Formats: sequence, C-alpha cells, structure tokens
Amino acid sequence: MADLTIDNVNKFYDKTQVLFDVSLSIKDGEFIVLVGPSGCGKSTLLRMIAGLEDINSGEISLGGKVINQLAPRDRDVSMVFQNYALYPHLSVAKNIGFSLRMRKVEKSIIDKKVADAAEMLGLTHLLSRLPRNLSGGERQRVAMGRAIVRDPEVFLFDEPLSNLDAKLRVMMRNQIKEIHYEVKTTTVYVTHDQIEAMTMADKIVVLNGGIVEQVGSPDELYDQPNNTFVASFIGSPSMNQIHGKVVSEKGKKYFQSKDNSLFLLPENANISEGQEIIYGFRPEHVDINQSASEDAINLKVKVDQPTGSQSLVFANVGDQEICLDVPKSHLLKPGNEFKMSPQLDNIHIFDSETGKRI
Amino acid sequence: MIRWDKRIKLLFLLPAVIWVLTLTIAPLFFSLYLSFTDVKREVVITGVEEIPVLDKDGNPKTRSDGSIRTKKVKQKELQIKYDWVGFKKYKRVVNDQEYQDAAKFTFIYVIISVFVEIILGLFLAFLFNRRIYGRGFMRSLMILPIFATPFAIGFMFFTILFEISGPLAWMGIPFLSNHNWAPFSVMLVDIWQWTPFCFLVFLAALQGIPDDLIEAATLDTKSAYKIWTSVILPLLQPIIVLVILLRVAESAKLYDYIASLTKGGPGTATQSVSFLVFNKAFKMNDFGYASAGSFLMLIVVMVFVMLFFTRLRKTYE
Repeated sequence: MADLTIDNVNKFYDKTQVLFDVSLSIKDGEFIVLVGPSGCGKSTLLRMIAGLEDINSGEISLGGKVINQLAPRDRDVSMVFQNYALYPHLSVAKNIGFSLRMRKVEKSIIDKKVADAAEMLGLTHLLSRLPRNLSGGERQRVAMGRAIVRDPEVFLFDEPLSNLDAKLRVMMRNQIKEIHYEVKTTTVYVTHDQIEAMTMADKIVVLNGGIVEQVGSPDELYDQPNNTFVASFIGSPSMNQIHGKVVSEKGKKYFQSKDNSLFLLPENANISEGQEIIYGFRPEHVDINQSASEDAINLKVKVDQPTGSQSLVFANVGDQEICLDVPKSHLLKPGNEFKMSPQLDNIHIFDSETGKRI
Repeated sequence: MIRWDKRIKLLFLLPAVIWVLTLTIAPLFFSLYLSFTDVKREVVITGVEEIPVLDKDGNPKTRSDGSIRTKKVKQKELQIKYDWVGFKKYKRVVNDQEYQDAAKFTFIYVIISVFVEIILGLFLAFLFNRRIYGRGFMRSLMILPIFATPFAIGFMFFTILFEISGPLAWMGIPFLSNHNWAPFSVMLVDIWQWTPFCFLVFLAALQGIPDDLIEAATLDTKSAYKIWTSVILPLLQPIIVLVILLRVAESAKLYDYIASLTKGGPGTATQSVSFLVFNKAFKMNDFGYASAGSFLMLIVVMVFVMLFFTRLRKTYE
C-alpha cells in the first residue's frame, strides 16, 4: 500500500526557511489538498514529494520506504503541472504515452493504455492533435491523462485549474473527483483556492508561512478552526472576527466589543471575566430581526449584495466591518436598522494574543 | 487628401527603393548579363594625328626648308566589349578542374565547419544553461570572437599557425603548408569565430524552454541523454534549422580567411569558390567566368536554403 508519510520536513532556500517541521500522514487512496496563501510553501512541499526539490531535513516515505534520495522517476509519482507542461512537439497521444515510452513499455500496451485514458477523459477525438491546437480545458485533460496513464502510487496536482475560467474550473473539479473515485489513487492537490479545497478534499492541510496550521476534513476545518488564520482562510465570505473582552452581567457571560456592544457567550465556554478574546461567527450563522434572540444588537446596513435567494449584508460593529449571509429581505437596504444575534452553537472563540481556539 | 497621404508614404519609401535597386538589383542583373558574355578590353586605334615636334624650350622644331617638323601619332581608345556567348562560360566553369576543386573544398568546408559549430555550440549552451559562478562574465567573453573582423582573424591565425616561429611551431604540424592540413586550419578559424554565435542562439533558445517541461520529463526518466533527445532537441529543432541556414549561407561565401590566411594555397588546396571567382574577375579580367561561377554557387545555395525553409515552415505550422 502507498501511505505517504511526511515526517518533520524542513526546507531552506539559501538561508530562508520556507517549511518548518512539516509532518503529515496520508493514507492510501486519500485525496489531500494543500491550501494556503501564495508563498506558504505548499507548492514546495508538493515538489519535494515529487523529488523536484531537495529535502533539507526530515523524511518523506511512500509505502513505508524513505524516498528522500530517490530520483523523481523512481518515486512512482506523477504530477500535473500548473501550466500543464505538455510537450509542444508531440501529439496528444504521444504526450499521454510519453512516460510509458520512457519506461520502455511495449508499444501495444502503450496504445491500449493511452486509448483507455483518452476514453476516460473524453480526448479520443483529439489524440492526433498537437497541444497548441487545443483549448485550455483540453490541455488540462491531456495533462491529467499523462498522469493517469502510468497508474502511479501518488498523483500530485500543482494548482491545475488556476489557468481555466470559472465555469471550466467547476467542471474540471468534478472530473478530477470522478477520476479519483474511479482510480482511487492517493492524491496530493495544491491550490490557493479554499473553495477548491473544500469541494474536493477528503482532508485539507492549511499551510501558512511554511507551518501547518491545521489538518482535517473540510467539515472539521469549517466547524472547528484551530486558529484565526484557518477561521478566516476557510469559508467564503470569511468568518467575522471581532476583538474585545469577556464581561459578566446578570450571571451571564457576555462578549464586549470595543464599542461596548454585548454578545451573549455560551455558558460552557472556558473563559474568565476580563479575558481578551476574539469573537468569531460565520456570516451564515446569525439570526436577524424576529428570529433574533433577546440579546440581539442593533446594526445599520452599510451595503447589501444580493446573491439570489440570499443576500450579503455588510454592517459595522464599532469600526469593524462584519458580513452577514441572510435571506434576502426588502428591510435590509442601506441605511436601515436591524437586529442581529449570532447563533450560540456556532460561535468561535479565540485567544486574542495567540489566535488559538479556546 | 487620403490619396496624397498615400503618395507621401511612397515618397518616403523611395530612398530605400533606390538604394536596393542601384546597389543590389542592378548589379545582380548586370552580373547575370556578364555571365553570358565574354568581356574583352581592347585598345582600338581610332585615328592618326599629326603633331609638331617640339624642342627643349617648347618651340616647334623646323626643318632646313623652314617648315615645321611633325610626327604622326596613333589615337588609341580603351573599349570594353561584351560579346554575347550564351552558356559558353557556364560550360567552361563546370568543366574547369580548378572550379571543381574549389567547389569541392567549399562544400567540405561548409559541411564540416557548420556541423562542428552546431555541435560545439549546443554543448557549450548546455554547459552554460545552469547557475555557474561568473556566468554572465564568461558568456560575454565567449561571444567576443563574433565581433572581430574576419580578415583580421585570418591574420591572427596566420601568426598563431606560423610554422617557423609561431606559438604552435613546436607541434611540428604543417598547418598552412600541407595540402591536407591547410583546409583544416581554415575550418578551425571559422569554427573559432562562429561557434560563439551558435552558442549564443542556442543558449537563448534553451533558456526559453519552460522549466516544467524538463521537470515533467525528469519524473519519467533519469537519463539526461533521453531528456535531451526526446524533449530538448525536438524543441530546439526549429532554432537549429535556422542556425544551420544562416551559417551555411554565410560560410559558403568564404573569402576573408582565405585571402588573409592561405591565399588559396598551398597550390589550390584552400581555394574557395569566392576566392577563385574574385581572382578570375579582378586579376585575370575574366568577368564572364567569374559571374558564371558565382551564379552557379548562388543556385546551389538557394536550392539548399529553400529546402530548409520549407522544412522550417513545416515545423512552425
């Protein structure tokens, strides 16, 4: 089996450290997405798995075997590059069959495998074309075909959809998932797009500045973000995070923002009075007007962005802007006042100094 | 108004058109005409004139009978005659052993030097296509030969290869005096001067190949040789064809190195077509032969260039 284990890996470019003690364990057949802002080291980590970058310290092992010193070719991984890296002088068929030809596979087998891969990706009618005569989406599929045809232990995707337009991206997302269901190969997928991560991953790894912030399923990351970075990075629009402190009134704990607005806190929360915290709630986890609780606060609509049945409403708590994702209503127009209370079950509390979840 | 603008455009083109017509097209057709003629320079006596004979002081001498002494002088005029001889000159050129030898030498010279330049250029480009200390400086140093005057380079190599006291004299190799070595020496000069050009173009082309293509290939093979033959060389192919084209067209005109290094010798061992043609025209006054010889070579080079151009166009389509 091909479990992929990354153990305390560090990476330096000259004297700059770009990865700090990264450890991950990826089970056979899992679809892992490395996500993070640009420069967070996610592509570097992927390239280290592929063998395109040296590993300064730590170990990467595949199927129990350390592959640090193995040449990329011997690692049994195949990679889809951001710009597809198709050989411009070779036809689609030759591009897909390239890795097999390099491995001196018999020609009849190559032809069969290429035909199968083309079939799976809907490329059969394009096999004799050159890459420059293909559209972006078609090139992307050829790049995937090139990876699939080898039947490797691990697929590596380096932001494969970033050059496609939005519509095509959604389609390709589905196709990649379908292929993963079909071939069930361990997949490591790098993206800066958290929606791609949320929709595709079995497990998401959030990287920031070369450090793993959190590893977990999309739901875990969404419901239980470890810290403020993950909380704001995962989910769109981002989680509202308000700075303030804990106060007690009438035997209940409240969160008091800088402008003295009071938000009710869950009773079981492990916080003490006077503690500086960051109070977080997602835009969709709020009740407004009639459904709002008795502790609701009054806000004034700054901007509203209808998105169909819902509407994104922006308002200010003190000088901090918050965003609310609520059912569309004629009452929520700029200048109107409304009542709002975050849902008590879905409140996230973070330490204001460390940003860690409390 | 618009029409006037268009005419103005044509007017601005005029200097260039005149330049091309007078300095390229006209001489081209004139030499084509020359190749079908026998050019003769003759001194023709156009008449006789009687002039007085003068003494030391410049006064006319007189005979005893008092009449002025005269002498008869022939009036001469240099006339250039173009006798139309059809393909006679071409026949002569084709059957001329000297021309055949020159063509053979030029052919071998072009093949070998261009081949070596391409291979060496590729190799150097390969070496330089990575981060090495002082690469920029080394690269500038490498391409210096391109800027030197070929004629001067010929003289420089003449001093280097000088067999009696030159710096390579200890090798005891008759670089310039042996009919087997001399062609090699000339090729050496060409290779020395033009490998840097190939190197420069190939280096630029190599740096234009996206890294991820090479990385994609390293995921499939460990052998650098395979990456070269199956990825890099096919990608460089259009550039290689272009460089071959430029180098063949250029080196087929070989004249400068010969004129300054070997003078075509020993014997006629290093006599190139251009050198032979030049001598025929301007030392032996056989312009018909020279023009015919030049046109024959032009045709051969043009056929070659056309073959390569179609090849090039195919790879780009």
